[in-house]
Amino acid sequence: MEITLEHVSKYFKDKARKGSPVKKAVDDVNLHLTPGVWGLLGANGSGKTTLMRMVCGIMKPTAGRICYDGVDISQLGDFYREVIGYLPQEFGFYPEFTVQQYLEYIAALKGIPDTQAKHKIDELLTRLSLEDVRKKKIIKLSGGMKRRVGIGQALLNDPELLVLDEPTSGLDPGERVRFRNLLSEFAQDRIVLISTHIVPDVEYIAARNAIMKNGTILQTGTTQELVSQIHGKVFQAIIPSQELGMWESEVQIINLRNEEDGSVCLRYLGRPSDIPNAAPQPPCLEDLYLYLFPKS
Amino acid sequence: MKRLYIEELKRVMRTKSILLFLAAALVLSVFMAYVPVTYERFTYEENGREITIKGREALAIKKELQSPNAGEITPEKIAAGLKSYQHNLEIYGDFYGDFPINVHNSEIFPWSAIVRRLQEIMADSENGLAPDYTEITEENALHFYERCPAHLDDLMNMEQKDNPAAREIAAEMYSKVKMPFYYYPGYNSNMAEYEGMYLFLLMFLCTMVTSPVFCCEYQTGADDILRSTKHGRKKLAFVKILCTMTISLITFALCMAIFTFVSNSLFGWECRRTSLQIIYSAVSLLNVDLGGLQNLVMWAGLVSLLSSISFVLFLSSACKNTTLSTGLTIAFCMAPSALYMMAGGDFTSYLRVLLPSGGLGGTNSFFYAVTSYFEFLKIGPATFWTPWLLLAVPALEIPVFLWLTVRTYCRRSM
Ligand SMILES: Nc1ncnc2c1ncn2[C@@H]1O[C@H](COP(=O)(O)OP(=O)(O)OP(=O)(O)O)[C@@H](O)[C@H]1O
Ligand SMILES: [Mg+2]
Repeated sequence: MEITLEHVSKYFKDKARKGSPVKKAVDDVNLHLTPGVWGLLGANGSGKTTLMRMVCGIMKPTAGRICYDGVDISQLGDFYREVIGYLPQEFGFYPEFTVQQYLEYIAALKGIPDTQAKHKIDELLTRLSLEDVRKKKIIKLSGGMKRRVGIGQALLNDPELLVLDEPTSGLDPGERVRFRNLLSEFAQDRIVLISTHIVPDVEYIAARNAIMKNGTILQTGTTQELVSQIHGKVFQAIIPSQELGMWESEVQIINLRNEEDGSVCLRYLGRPSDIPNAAPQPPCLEDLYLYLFPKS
Repeated sequence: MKRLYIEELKRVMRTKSILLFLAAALVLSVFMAYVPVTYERFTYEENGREITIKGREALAIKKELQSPNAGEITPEKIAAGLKSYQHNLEIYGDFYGDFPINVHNSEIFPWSAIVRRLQEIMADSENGLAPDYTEITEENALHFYERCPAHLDDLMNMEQKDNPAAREIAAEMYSKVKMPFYYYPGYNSNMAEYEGMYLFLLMFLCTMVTSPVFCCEYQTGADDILRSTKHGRKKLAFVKILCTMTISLITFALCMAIFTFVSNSLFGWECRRTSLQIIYSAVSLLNVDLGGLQNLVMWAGLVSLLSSISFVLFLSSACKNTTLSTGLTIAFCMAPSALYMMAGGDFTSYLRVLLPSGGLGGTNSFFYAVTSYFEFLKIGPATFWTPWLLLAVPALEIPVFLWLTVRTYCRRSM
């Protein structure tokens, strides 16, 4: 099973823009998705959601095509929707539904037989720690719980292709860890595409990453592959706090921590010679992210 | 499909606002059926004082007074009524001023429904003016039923001078009207009017329930999830349509059953056998009694209702949010009535026939079209009696709107 995106573009009309009235939300994207967890990284507005909606068949590309095992998904119809699960970035629920009722409703929509659906719902409620609230109205749940219900509905049909748009936003650290475990277990022989701003999340669970910028895919690869480009560019240094202002304009600071003795521990992107006594650090995805999307 | 349908019905029946609307429809059915009785008045004189009785009591007295003349309206009865009118006019001059109320109640009122129709058909064939009661002869009364078609001809020659097809349709329809007429006292024209008004309210409530069906999903963002499921496209659209129709049909059946039961129980079930021609005009074209008219108005209401719902479903599938869709729905419901109040003319008549809700509302209602005037519309070379169009056109529009709904929903955000 594989998903291929061939020269996929999506343009929106945008009257507010001066000059060209089209916004290229996704611009000529080529991507080959194979089983495993894929992390989609990119700044706000880089086109992640648009791309995911197209992969789910909710939106038609302006140009290009998306294929499931070589067949254009727009020709697959029902069959394609049967094998996908989608968690939108923003989604609503009917206010009158309880968690259980909602999942039963979606199960019916997904065409899952009644008894099978009951088992699956029980299982998911346990795995997503939602058993206690199964009889509660969804609108009364906390944000993180709502998102878990959303994850639950996406998993109901054991999808071959699971698309999750920022699934971890709003989850507390404990739930985040449980979610990662759930995903890595689930991702055997399946394609899971997740977008997130929380870089460590994909760093832990994503086998491969795609980095988006202004509607295009900048880079793809495993975390190691991607990170290797900034090998030898990440350093840590301890400097007196009064020197901070001086260095801020010289290097790109990733992180800084005030130490108790009045000095500052600095993690930054740059050259070894920038700050004296700086120690090289093993780079991580977050460093790459900041390397690719420097604060303007 | 069946499971999805049941799940969707369950979901809808859990929605508070929908239950509220349905409860309102039920309460209104009793209320609107009851109100016409409260208009009943009966005044008499006792010891020089005028006493007015209202409501059901008044209705009972009036029915009692008119009951000797109930049943078949024979020419002899008409003549007897005319005689009573003329006799009293000879004594008191006219019905205004000093005419004693009690005499009116016992000598005039029992005949009024019948004699009024006689006066109507004796109208001048040139200018359409009705004669004085004193100018009508017993001979005229005895030939009432022969005069009826002739009066229709007169009217048609005046009103539809340039439309021979309309004149033909009218003559053809009227030739089927059963004579002699039947009359059972107690009927109050408010009753039919309230039926029309109630149908309008029912349509309004049902369309309000319908207007968020699709766009509510778009607005909350629930749509993205539904749309990415196996049955989330065509099947879901069908199921949503089916559920809306089911709920509307059940509401309609229940509410109209209550309405019909309450109003006929109040006014008397025998009234349903009264000829339409005795109530509104002796030359009403349709061969029905009041029961038949009630039923016909109800069926026309149902057709308009289903057609309106189909249209609103389409609106809902095309709107971005519920505010817009609700606003448009309200405008749509009011449009026919508003058009009729503000502008008359052919254009409005055509528009009313085209609008799914055209036969519901105020003066534009199907009920008025059947009873008050001889309404005809030309479509190309053919001429139709408007009430038939008000039944047929909305019915034909139903599949069109539903098809558009499914299409719009499935293609959304593509
Ligand atoms: N329906 C639309 N109409 C017009 N423009 C749109 C539409 N949807 C998205 N856009 C534009 O396309 C661009 C990409 O949006 P998108 O939501 O895909 O970004 P994103 O990467 O998901 O961002 P975020 O991280 O904030 O979720 C943005 O500039 C957005 O304004
Ligand atoms: Mg997004």
